[in-house]
Parts: sequence; C-alpha cells; structure tokens
Amino acid sequence: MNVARFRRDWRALAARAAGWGRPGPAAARRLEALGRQKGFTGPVLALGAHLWAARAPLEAFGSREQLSRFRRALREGRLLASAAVSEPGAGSDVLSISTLARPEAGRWRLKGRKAFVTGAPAADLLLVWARTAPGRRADALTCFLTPVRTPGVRVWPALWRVGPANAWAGEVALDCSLEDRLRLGEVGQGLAVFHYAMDVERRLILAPALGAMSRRLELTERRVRERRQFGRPLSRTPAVVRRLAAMRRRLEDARRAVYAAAAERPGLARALSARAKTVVSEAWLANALDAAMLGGAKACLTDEALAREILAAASSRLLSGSNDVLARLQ
Amino acid sequence: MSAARARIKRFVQRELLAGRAVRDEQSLWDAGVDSLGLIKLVRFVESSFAIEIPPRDVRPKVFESIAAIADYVERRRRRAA
Repeated sequence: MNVARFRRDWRALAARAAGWGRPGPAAARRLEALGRQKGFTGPVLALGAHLWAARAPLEAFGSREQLSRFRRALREGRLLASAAVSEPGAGSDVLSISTLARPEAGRWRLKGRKAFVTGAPAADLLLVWARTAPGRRADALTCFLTPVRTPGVRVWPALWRVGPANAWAGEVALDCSLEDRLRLGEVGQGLAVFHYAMDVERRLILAPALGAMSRRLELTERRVRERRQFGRPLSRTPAVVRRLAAMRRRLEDARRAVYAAAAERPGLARALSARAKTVVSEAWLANALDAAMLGGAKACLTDEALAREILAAASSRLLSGSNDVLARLQ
Repeated sequence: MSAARARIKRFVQRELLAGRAVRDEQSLWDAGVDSLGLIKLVRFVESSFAIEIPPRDVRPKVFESIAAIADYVERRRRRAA
C-alpha cells in the first residue's frame, strides 16, 4: 500500500468516526467492531492517533479560535492529525526531548527533529511538543499545532516492519516559524497536554485489537473443531482445550480492562488507561502466538493475516509508552 | 498555615522530593518535581480533596507551588459550596 492509498483509507476512517470523539465506552464499542471488520491495520492505528492523540487534546485545551479553525475539519476527516512527540534520542521519557521553541518577534521558531510519528507522511496537522525551558522541569514543554504545509516542515516516510499492515509513520524535521495563536494551551503546559493525550490514547488505541482478537479466536475454534488427529477432533485434546480456554480468558480480561478505563473520566496519565493498554497488548500477542500454535504448519505457511497480526501485537506493547515504562503509572 | 496547605506540603516533601524540605512559595519545578511528579500531584489533590481537576486547569502557575495549589483547592471548594 502506498502513502496515497494509506491517506485515503485513513481519511475515510476519520470521517466515519466523526461522532466518536468522546473517549468513553461507546467509542470503545465502535472501535472494537471496526477491528473485527477490518483487523488492526495501519489506517486503523492512525485513526487512533488522529482521534485520541490529536483531536482529543485539541478539544480539551484548544482556544475558541483554534476550535473554530480546526475542530470541524478534524471531525470530518478533512484534516488528518497526529502527535509528534518522540525524537531519535527521546521516546517514553518526554522531558528529554530537545526540539526547541523560542519566541521570535511575536511568533515561535521551532527547531528539531521528531521520529516515529504515526501517519506522518499523510498527516495534515501535527501536534508538536517542544522545549520552552531547559532541564527536566514539569513546565519545560509547550505544544504547538503545526500544519504540515508550513514552510520549514519536512517529512520522511517510514513503514513499520514489525507492526500492523500498511502502517506508515515518519520522521519530521522542523525549522519553521509559527504564529503564537497556534500554541495549544499555555506556555509550559505541554506536559499536561501530553499526559492528557496519552491518557485518552492508552485507553482506546487498542480497542480495535479486541475485535481482531475476537475474530481470531473464532477462526481458531472452528479450525480445531474441524481438524482431526488420532481419530478425534483436535478440540477434544486436553492441552488444546486448555489453550483455547486461556485465549478466551485473556480476551475477556483485555475487554474488561478497556471498558473499565473507558468508563473513567479522562485525566492525566491515569492508572486504568495504562493498565488497559498493557493488558490488551500482552493478551493480544499471547493469543496471536497461540493461534499460530493451533493453526499448525498450514497456518504458518499460508496465513499472511495471522503473521501480520503477530507483528502488530508485538509492536502494540511499544505504542503509547512501552509496557515496561507504563508499569510506573499503575 | 491552612490544613490543605500542610497536607499538600507533607505529600510533596515525602512523596515527590524524597524528604527534602520545600517552602510554600517556592517553585516546585525548581525544586525538582518532574513528569511523574506532576501526575502524582494531580492524583493526590483530586483524591485528597475530592475534587475533579479538568485537564485544562493543570496550568504551570496553578501547580507551581504548595501555596498556589492550596489556593486552587480553596477556590474549587468555594465554587462547589
């Protein structure tokens, strides 16, 4: 899939999700259904970034002018947005970013480089976190709404290899000047904007994976019912029964974790949100590997979708903060 | 010192600054409160004073010092009364 096709699919999903902006259980149900229908593809991942890492913080922190300029276009998918936080030398540790924003004649001069930006080559608008004070102070960062067409913004596409199918991301080089009215929130409020964006994203970014897991479980159950070994269906082998039970239990645990987080009022990096992301990603990877085990040699030789699901599940442990880092928030 | 201020101070010194002393008006950011510290601080204020803090209210000035946080808690309580 090339970037143009990725953009078209992402835009269609964003438009379909026009009314899903509230990060609650209703959105989780719709995303789960979407994942069941389409799987967890690159455009589905990018939809999560658009809705939760970009649109949600804009709606929570945006000025009246910013809301009237961007909100409708974001809801209708005419503008695709993503968050540009990580840098080649800074991932989960957001206070170590080095992209600078300094005041310059009533505007802001942004200089730096962002990496691993979901959807970057197809995005129209980036939320860029930059440093407006030195050190690890909690007031060191500020967030900026950065239209990708701004002179001095350059994007290099990159495709996830261990990740969902057709998941485009990219690096972004910034040497640009922005009007002050594109600052999201106050100077020094960037960390709060970031923790809010991550809170909302972590609770729902993997909701589509619940649908994908549910579909995979059904396919696996059917396969072991139909496959006969030693004169009986594989589904009557005790070890297989136990493995299927574990898959069902993991899916239910994952579902409970997502809906418990989604029922909570969004805040700053809440424990339930970190837990939801962690539980789903670990359950998804374990279930995908079990599906490969129960699918047998035939699945491993022919099932491209299953191979991709294993890669997507493996990468999901890193998205929105690696599970090892998120353990600190729970 | 108000009870709220004393409670916030106790939490900040014990949980966020590893027992180091901090003055009521001193900048918590200068004192070393970082990313995780901000999250813990917001969680503590919400649960200890039974208030919901809208993300938009988590402004550098509001959470900059023990005195500023206590003022915010008082304002929220007055508004709720």
